[in-house]
Amino acid sequence: MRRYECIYILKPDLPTETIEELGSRFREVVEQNGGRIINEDHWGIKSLAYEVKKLTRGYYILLDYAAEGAVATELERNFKMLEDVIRFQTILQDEAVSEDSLDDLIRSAKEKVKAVPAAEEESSRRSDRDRDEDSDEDEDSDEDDDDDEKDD
Amino acid sequence: MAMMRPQRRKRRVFARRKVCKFCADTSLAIDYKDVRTLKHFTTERGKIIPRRISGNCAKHQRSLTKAIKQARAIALLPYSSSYTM
Repeated sequence: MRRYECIYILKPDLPTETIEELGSRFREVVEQNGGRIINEDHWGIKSLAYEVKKLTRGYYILLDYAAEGAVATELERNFKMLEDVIRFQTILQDEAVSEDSLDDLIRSAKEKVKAVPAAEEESSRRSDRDRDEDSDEDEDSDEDDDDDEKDD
Repeated sequence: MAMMRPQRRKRRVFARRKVCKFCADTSLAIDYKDVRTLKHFTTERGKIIPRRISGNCAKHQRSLTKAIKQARAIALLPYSSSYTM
């Protein structure tokens, strides 16, 4: 089975029941076609980096699953049908995942979810330090001026 | 054309012998979901910083570019800074 990681974005102003319903519907699509869900993570409402369908925020959901190739196509077809899904992206993580390792993956995914808040604090501290190092990279603005004389 | 431009030694002696951040710290994974790390490698306008400035090795620059483009597709990173939002 192949391991896919899929992110889909829903409209931000949907009621919780609709979100639950859609989530379970997509999960069913995977499971009914012989796939297995490894992890589902709701990132919640985030600001989009650019406008998508005239919306500036979206509800992000991450779906990590293992299935055959046809299942991914089927899932994407479902995404395309619904208006509430404004963006989706499926990425192949692993071409061959054995059946046995799936249970381990599911378990480790659950543990990782608990460990993420602690790790995020650490990484934010580290990234602040890095930012000080890169502060002498204001040459970047020079470079932009050279290249983009024609642009704004 | 090249003769008309004055000799500018701006970037040549620069030779930022910076080590590739990802080679130095092998625990740093390049992931399109990790916006914080990816942002360090884009300019203010959202453009990807070239390798000779960022100091990355070729292999990591390639996977970094791929990750940035994947993040842009999902609206985690902007394509450009010129959006009126």
